[in-house]
Amino acid sequence: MSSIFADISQSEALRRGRRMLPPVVRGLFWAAIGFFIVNTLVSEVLDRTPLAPYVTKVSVTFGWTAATCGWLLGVGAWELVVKPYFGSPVEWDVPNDWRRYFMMSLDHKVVGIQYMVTSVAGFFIAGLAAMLMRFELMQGNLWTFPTPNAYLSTVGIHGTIMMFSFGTVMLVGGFGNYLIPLMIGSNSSAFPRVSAISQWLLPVGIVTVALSPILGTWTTGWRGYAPLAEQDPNGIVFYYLGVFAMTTSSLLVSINLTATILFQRAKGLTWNRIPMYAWGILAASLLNIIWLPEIQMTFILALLNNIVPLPMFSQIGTPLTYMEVFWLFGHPEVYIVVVPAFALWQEILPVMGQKTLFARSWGVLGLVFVMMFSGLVWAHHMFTNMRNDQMLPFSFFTEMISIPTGFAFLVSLGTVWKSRLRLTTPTLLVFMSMFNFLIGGVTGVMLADPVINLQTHDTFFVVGHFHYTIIGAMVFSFMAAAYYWLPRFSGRMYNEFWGKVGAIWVFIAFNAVFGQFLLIGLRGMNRWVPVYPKYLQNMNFEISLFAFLLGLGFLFNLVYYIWVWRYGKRVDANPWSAKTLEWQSTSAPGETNFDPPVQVLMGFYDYSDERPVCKPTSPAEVS
Amino acid sequence: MSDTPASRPTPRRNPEWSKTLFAVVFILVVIAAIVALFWQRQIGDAWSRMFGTERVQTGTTHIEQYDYGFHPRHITWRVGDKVTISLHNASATHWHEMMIGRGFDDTPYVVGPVHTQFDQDFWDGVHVTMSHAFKVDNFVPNKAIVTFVGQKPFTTEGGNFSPTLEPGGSLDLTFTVPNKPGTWQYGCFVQQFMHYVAGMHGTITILPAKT
Repeated sequence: MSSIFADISQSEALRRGRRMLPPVVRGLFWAAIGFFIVNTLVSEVLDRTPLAPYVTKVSVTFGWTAATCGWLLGVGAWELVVKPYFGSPVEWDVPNDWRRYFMMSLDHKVVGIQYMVTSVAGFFIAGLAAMLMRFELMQGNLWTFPTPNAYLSTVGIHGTIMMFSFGTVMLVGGFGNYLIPLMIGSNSSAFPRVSAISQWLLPVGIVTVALSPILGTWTTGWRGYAPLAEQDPNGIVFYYLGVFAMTTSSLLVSINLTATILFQRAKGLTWNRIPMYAWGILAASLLNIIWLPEIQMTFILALLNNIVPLPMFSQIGTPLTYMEVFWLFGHPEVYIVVVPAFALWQEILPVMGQKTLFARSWGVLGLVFVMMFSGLVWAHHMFTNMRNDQMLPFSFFTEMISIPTGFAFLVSLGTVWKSRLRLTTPTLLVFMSMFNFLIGGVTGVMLADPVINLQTHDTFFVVGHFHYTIIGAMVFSFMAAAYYWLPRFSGRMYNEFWGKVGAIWVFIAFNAVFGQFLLIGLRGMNRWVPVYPKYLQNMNFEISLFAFLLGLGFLFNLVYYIWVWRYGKRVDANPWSAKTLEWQSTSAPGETNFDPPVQVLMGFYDYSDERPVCKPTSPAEVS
Repeated sequence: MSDTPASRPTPRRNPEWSKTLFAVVFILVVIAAIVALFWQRQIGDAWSRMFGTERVQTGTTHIEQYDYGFHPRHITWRVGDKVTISLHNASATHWHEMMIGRGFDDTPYVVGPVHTQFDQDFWDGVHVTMSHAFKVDNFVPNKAIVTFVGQKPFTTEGGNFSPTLEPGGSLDLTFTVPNKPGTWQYGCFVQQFMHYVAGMHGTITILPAKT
């Protein structure tokens, strides 16, 4: 396979000729040109209204689309996708250094790291928004933000960026792109150009949503509720556009990873040997493929509703129509977030215990059934708008979904049972994740009950519940995975003491914040309000202090992680003695994973069997 | 798989692009984005305070109302000039008004005072001619002395001088700029001040008469 690619060690040969413009700079430049041309065309020629401002909400929609195309072409799609499509040779040389992360690349490991960095950047931007929210809520009056709308916009930016650029992306686009081809013994993802484009759409989405207040405030939160959105200033247009970029990114990743898992597996990697994480990614990707087009269509209708304008969701249809179609996607969304996290528990624990994964088939079944049930529960978000007899089936299925979720717990606990468990930082984080998700799950079963649901609707009890499920399960599992695979990514090992300090710091701060969210919700604290009654002042003040501690905890982990990546102690390949294929290759970004290709000889989770899991295929076997 | 697909032996460009250029452009764009996010309006206002006074408007001033803002946001007039405000509601969905004044009339509310209208009405005692009224929902003359040309809109009482336009509505107000120099505000207080909060306001600079 390597014969058709340039030998990148010949860097002397590459240094000839005039220097190219940095692709990111060219992308920004082409985006600006695209916006200028199309915005002018729409606002001054096609949709000309005398005396109107230069940027209208119609022109900005088309201008943004052109800017996004310009950006994608500028960062590399022009040379990698468009020109080859029309028959030109590929003229895109990626230097063999840090520059490869700031230009379009076809290497799945480079794309994975680009995704991780972008996604973590989104996490910290949205985290900053959360810090601003907690700053505001330290006092019962409006003192940080100039207006209630500014506060609500910040809440919306926090939720939107967290969900669409981190929650659904980090484990799928980030770890998925890097690890899935490695784990299934492939040298590439199925559609490298698709994943390159999807990665470069993500920063567009984050920046668009983060800068949405430039066009005006919006008050709908990450759900974009219509017809409320019709009343919002133009910032809501950037919400729709940014979310469109991010969901398109996730959709393309899911298509690519599904195809990769289905068609790129190494010889001998049969269906019953597929690694747990690949199962998790497959389940989450199928959810993405089913539900993201649905919500994208809804958002496009809502955008047209706003800019044309159309009378949908008010005169045509009802406000409930929008809520139905939103939560039809919105609830599977949380399983897109959490299913890869369950898979991570089942990936990390057998390695740390060096013990065969307990009841593997039930683990897989759990992931798949969570995926299937997730489409049957959406209306529990709207019990306040329903009749009793409509609530019951949704209440039933919501409580049912805790059963396959329970499989993930039982498989993990059964694996730990009587194993020689190494209590490393990843193990600790997996246990923390299980503890947090248990609280998130139990409060979820409570909320599935109409009696409790109707009482706690729109209070901080609900906010506490979903932060327990999403941060509790997904973010803690993400941190576990990050420490677990750090030696694979960087060839360096963290220090157990500092790793555990980071884990415990975040765990304590997290529980102090969101445990109290549950309590303050029961005491009557409402969501979506920057001001609240006097009696909640003290508790809110103290929650905010813990929230800042939590923010600092995440920052500490980030700084420590980057430090280890650069300066940590070097470590041999496969320090955990793991059996999965990504540990059987030491390829760095830009290098071939398996040369020659490998043949898988057995499953990856049987630690009683000492034989090697794979062998290189002899050249004669490669057709 | 390598990240460098190569189907030709020698590249025409040196792919080792400049890191200085990259860093400088990246940092500048980040700074510009942050400044635009937090101080866009303040910078726009400061800009027109510095340079706007030189562009005194005479004759007709077109003011567009949209969701939620006025275009333009800054107007400069001179005392004694005869001017016309040509107001047009460009929104397809929302009703908008236009008040001109200073200070605020407040109603206490849980998130802080709600400004229901301006405290001082610019139009007090001003002779003004209203013409070309189209889709005017209602009009409050307050203490202005109004002459109607053409169709007279539904007139009511309560609050400051304010025409409220239906979506697509328009009207002209012709008057001689009264001797009230200084800075005035204009804004839309519809939907309990929410339009104003969302940014639907602007400033008028009135220069003293030429001597």
